[in-house]
Amino acid sequence: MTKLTFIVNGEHKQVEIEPGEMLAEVLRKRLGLTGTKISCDELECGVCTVLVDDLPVLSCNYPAIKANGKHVTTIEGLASDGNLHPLQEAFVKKGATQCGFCTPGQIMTAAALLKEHPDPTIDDIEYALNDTLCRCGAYPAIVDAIRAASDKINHGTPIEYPQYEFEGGHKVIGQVVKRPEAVDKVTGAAIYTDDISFPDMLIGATLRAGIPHGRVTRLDTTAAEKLPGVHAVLTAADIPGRVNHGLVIQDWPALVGVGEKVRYVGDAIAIVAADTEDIARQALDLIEVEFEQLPVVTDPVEAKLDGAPLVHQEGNLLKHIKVDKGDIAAGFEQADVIMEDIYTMPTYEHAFMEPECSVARVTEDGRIELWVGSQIPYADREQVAAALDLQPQEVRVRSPLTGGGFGGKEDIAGQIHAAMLARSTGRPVKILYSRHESLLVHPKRHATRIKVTLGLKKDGRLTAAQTELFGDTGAYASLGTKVMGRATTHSTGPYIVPNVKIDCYAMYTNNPPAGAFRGFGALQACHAIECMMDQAAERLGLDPVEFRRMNALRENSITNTGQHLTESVGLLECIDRVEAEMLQSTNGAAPFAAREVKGQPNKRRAWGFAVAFKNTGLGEGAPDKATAEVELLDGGIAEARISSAEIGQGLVTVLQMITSQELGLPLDQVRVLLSDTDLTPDGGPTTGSRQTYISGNAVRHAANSLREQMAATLAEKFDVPPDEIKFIEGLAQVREEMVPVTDVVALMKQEGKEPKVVYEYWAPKTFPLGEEGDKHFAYSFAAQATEIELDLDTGEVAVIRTIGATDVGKVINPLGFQGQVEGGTIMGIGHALTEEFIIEDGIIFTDYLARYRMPSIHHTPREIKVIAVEHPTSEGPYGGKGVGEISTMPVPPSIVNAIYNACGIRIKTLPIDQDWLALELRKKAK
Amino acid sequence: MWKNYYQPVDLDQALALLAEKQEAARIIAGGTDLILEMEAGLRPGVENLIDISRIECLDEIQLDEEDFIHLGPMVTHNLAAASKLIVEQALPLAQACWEVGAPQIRNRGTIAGNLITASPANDTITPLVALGARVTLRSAQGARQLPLSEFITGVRKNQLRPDEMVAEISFPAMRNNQRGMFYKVGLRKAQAISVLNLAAVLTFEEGTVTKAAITLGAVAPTIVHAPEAEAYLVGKQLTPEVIGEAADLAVKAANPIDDLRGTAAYRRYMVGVIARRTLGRLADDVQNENYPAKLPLLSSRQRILPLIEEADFEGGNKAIETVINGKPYRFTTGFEKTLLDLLREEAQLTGTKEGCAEGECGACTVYLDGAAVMSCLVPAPRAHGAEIVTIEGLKQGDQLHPVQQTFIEDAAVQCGYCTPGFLMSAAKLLEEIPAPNREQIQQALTGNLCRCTGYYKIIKAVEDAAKRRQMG
Ligand code: FES
Ligand code: FES
Ligand code: FES
Ligand code: FES
Repeated sequence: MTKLTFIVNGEHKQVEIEPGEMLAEVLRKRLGLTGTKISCDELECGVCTVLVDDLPVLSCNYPAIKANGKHVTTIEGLASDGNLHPLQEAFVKKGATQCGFCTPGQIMTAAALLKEHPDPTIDDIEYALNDTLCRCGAYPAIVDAIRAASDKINHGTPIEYPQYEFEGGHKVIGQVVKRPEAVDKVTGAAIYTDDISFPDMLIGATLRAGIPHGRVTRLDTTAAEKLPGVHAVLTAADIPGRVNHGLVIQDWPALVGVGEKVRYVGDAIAIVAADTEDIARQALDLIEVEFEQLPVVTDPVEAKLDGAPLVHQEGNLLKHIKVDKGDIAAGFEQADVIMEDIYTMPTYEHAFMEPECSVARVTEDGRIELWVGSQIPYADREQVAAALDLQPQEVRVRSPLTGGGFGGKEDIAGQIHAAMLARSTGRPVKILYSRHESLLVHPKRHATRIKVTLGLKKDGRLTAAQTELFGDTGAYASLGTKVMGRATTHSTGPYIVPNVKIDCYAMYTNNPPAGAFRGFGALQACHAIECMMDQAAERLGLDPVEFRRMNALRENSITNTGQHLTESVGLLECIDRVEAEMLQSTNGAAPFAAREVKGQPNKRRAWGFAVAFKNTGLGEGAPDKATAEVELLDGGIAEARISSAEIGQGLVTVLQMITSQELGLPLDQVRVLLSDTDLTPDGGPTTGSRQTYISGNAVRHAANSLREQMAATLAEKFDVPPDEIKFIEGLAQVREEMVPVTDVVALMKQEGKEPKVVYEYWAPKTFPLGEEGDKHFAYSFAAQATEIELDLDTGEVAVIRTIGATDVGKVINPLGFQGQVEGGTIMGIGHALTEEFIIEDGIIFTDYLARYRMPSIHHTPREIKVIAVEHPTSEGPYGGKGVGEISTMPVPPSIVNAIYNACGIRIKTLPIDQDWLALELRKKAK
Repeated sequence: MWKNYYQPVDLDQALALLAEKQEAARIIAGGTDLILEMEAGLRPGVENLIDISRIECLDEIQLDEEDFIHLGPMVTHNLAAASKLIVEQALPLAQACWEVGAPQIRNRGTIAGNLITASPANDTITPLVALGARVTLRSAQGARQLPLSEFITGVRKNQLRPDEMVAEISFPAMRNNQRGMFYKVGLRKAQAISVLNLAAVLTFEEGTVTKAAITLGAVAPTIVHAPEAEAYLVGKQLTPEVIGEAADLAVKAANPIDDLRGTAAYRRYMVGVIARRTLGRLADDVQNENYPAKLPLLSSRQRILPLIEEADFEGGNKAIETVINGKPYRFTTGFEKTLLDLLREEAQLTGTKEGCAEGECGACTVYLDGAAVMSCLVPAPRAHGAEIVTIEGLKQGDQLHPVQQTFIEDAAVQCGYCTPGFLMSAAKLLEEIPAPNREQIQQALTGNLCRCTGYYKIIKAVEDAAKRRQMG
């Protein structure tokens, strides 16, 4: 044994070695540094490259003793302070790593190269890497990565994901294609959760508190248990694991036990499994429960007052969210005009068409299998497992088709209950909420009150904006902190404002919880600021469009959170295109003037205008990633797998298109498998308009790597450069020869390569409020014009025509895009005119669908003009960013502004109160 | 929900059952109100339903020699709205029936049922009171007749005895010198039902009003007349001044309350607005201006298809024998369910969806003997001896129905949950009106809600399907 003393990755090491031991072995076995790989062990492949005193050596045949007293650097030593070395970052982003086995050697070789040639040419790179082999054929990407890393080191240029061509050039992306699951949906063959049943399945039902605030003093289930046909009656005492659930803060008990508090009418007290629904309901009636009633707080402003009844022990303030930019006092001092107003928006209900349903059963191997139309399958898995005291892998969550979500299917509904009942009875259990129960239980849109104060120069420039928001987050946190966070950052609009101050209070009350809902707080914020902008324009005597254009965010603007917008800011184009379209419809006449309607003296028409912006993705520091798997199956079919929800928005179509585009396969040779936690990796939540971007990117990168592997295999076999191989319509074109993809798959398998790539995509990093750095990695923008007709006698308002332009970066699936805008527009019309979830002292009035007026076909305008504006983001898939939420946002303020233009009455409370409006109109007429 | 379900084939059988079961029984006609009331626990103790919808001739609309119109207890809103006789000689009633909204409800809901529910917001009562209607109540013991205004005694209260049923509604047909109209204000937040409504029937002698009936709904616990306005109008010509004065007087009759559908102040004010509008239209003789010439009924059946043999489901003693999508089915379980649940759970035909189970969303639309209905409001035994078509039966052989094709091509499908219901309504519409205009499409699809698409592409898909069907 000899003693070897050297410095490895900056640390002094001393090891006993056998004579003749090679460096690679010492590193791997004696020091546990297994990052360095051995492939040929004969100085052929370069995979084992490490640096000795900054020079590359092939460690597999480098006698370790030669390193005595020297500095050795391995792949593990490259990163510093937890930051990836530029080379590592570049390899990830440029897709230069496929199977990854050669990667350490490639990177170490490149590191040596960059030490010698900080700014290598392509030739330098190719020369240096000449003897470092890659079987996957990632060479072009490796060259690219090294160039990018050197640019970063030398010039600080950020490393970008590879660029894809925009506009045209895409065979699939941007083309009109059919939704793959549409046939099933029109023939009744489409399966939603409630369509699943088992022969011996039991029906579960839930006893609800029925009072908004109180302590459970007695709970007796004996009579219910004795009822024939009842198989289980469970209470909080039967929860084996974590009692509380919650996506951010676990404060929501799955069941409220004796001595514990109920905090809203929908809190669950007990659950029952029985042979039939009738018996289950009878059993609920037999459960005896008594409460000590507690005082109720239902208004977020009152909830903040001293002495308000406490919903949670720690106080009613869920979160105070702040934004400070510039000097607000100075901003108001510079202003010629200061305006202030308060806008309120009620609670809104998602009213997805499919009520919540969970089906659970225990599998033969003792795991829980759960079917649920969920927006976040992996979160369900985690939350069900925690409640049942299981490991997440012991739960399998599968999402059948989901009949709409809009944010309302992110939290736990019946998932935990169904799983508990299935475990307790050993039989499959279905819990289907009636519409009544659905209305009662799931989180709603935050009722919000927003005070807006603007400071303006006479010429229209904004000098200061201050807002104060109160959001009613109801009994439990759900996503309240995040939703109100978004309300905060969007509350001064997509405008350049040098001085900003925002205070937002997310308050607990005894109302139903409020959580995610299309627009996610930004909708409320948009409404307030856009109403105020019209008021300000009028006060200053400016055209509301021109006024917005003057202040609009554009490239290189700084947002109110201090984010420097470097690209993809299409707001001005949205404004221009909508204005042009609007002027065309009025033949150039002033669109915002009230117009009479021929033959109907009691009617007036006018246009109203508003703009919006909305972040894509989670943002504000939340790590945002998705993992996708793409595999080529025998028969030349590609399957993309990811747990991301298809809730009607068309994700399956988008992922199918992306896979098809990347692999050069016809659409019908691509399958998409979503949301099965056993079979598909985590795509993250369906929220924040993030799926096309994040899951889309994960699938895109996975498919792209797979294509490169195919190309590499062919390149090898036919001895052509991989980039000369094209994939068209399921065939690989190698020189003159067309090779069917099936043959490529066979070839890969023969060579022992699995034709499958798993790709974990990380969205660009964001930073929380209060920290430096970007809050979001992308924003979508929109402008909206809405023409309304007002009945001056009755106060009835009808929307006649809408024009909406949305900057989504790149339209990937045009039909899906239109569908999102049209559907979002109608939802916006509903929010403005008909919808209101009414709660009185914590008791829900709108507990039947008949009482929640969602828009019917009669509310559809004569025309919904959908304009796509494409200002691509460099990182988004083909330049794309989110569209799911923004389409609803500018609609309500555009309607309110139109009504003002039609009659001079300004509405500050949503929904627009026809009574109030009619009576005001009468006062005005007198 | 029910223990026994009876389907008699003549009225005497029905009355005998009522006499026997008394409070424990209810007559069910369309069931659109009753099923909801039972689900909400508002009809405790009702264990027996006596379904009169299979009794021949109960859906007749007749004119007698004395010019009285007689409505049988099974006259549905759609039957009345589409009846030439009612449109020509009782227009306010036709208008009220048409206003009910969802065609699937109009195909099942009856006018007699409205009187029994006796909600002041029920649209049909207001015109019937204005028309001077009387109701005939029958029991096994005999019959009695009451003026409608006496029959209804308060909110959801009436004079019906446990052994009685409404056997007929009658009123004088409007003559040539009479004009009438119904006007409804509705569709505000919270509820689709009327915020208020008004009916007027005026008799003229050479341009001068000789008799006036003005009734108001949803402004008081029962339907009320506006006596001062009525008296004032007699002897006057309908000049703008007279109309204004009469409208102001009508307001005095209103004694509304604040509720979540509207404030009292608004309702009072609106009485004036709609009285003025109604009288103005009557003055111009354009009261039927907005009444559609061709109504999309979503029904290809004109009249009741009677049962040959009575079918009594006492407990589970009888199988439901029915035909679904052309195939015979026999169900020995599930008679206590709704038709929707029977289809989904017993027949495993899960294409039909439940969105609300309260008749609001249309996701459960199927055809019952050729008429589109909300299957969540139809008792399962009603399927006995009937023919049902569901979404699974819409395809013609291997061919998708044209609306199925265009729903796919025009991207009228998003989450897809509402889609089966829309397709059923749309296909029925095209059967009835091969080239519907946009308005007719909207009317036909009023009963179907979609939260995803915004309806825009749905309308387009129906238009395109119509074109495709016509091209063959
Ligand atoms: S393992 Fe082959 S060169 Fe080292
Ligand atoms: S050997 Fe280089 S990536 Fe696999
Ligand atoms: S109308 Fe029947 S389920 Fe909604
Ligand atoms: S497509 Fe989702 S409700 Fe209509």
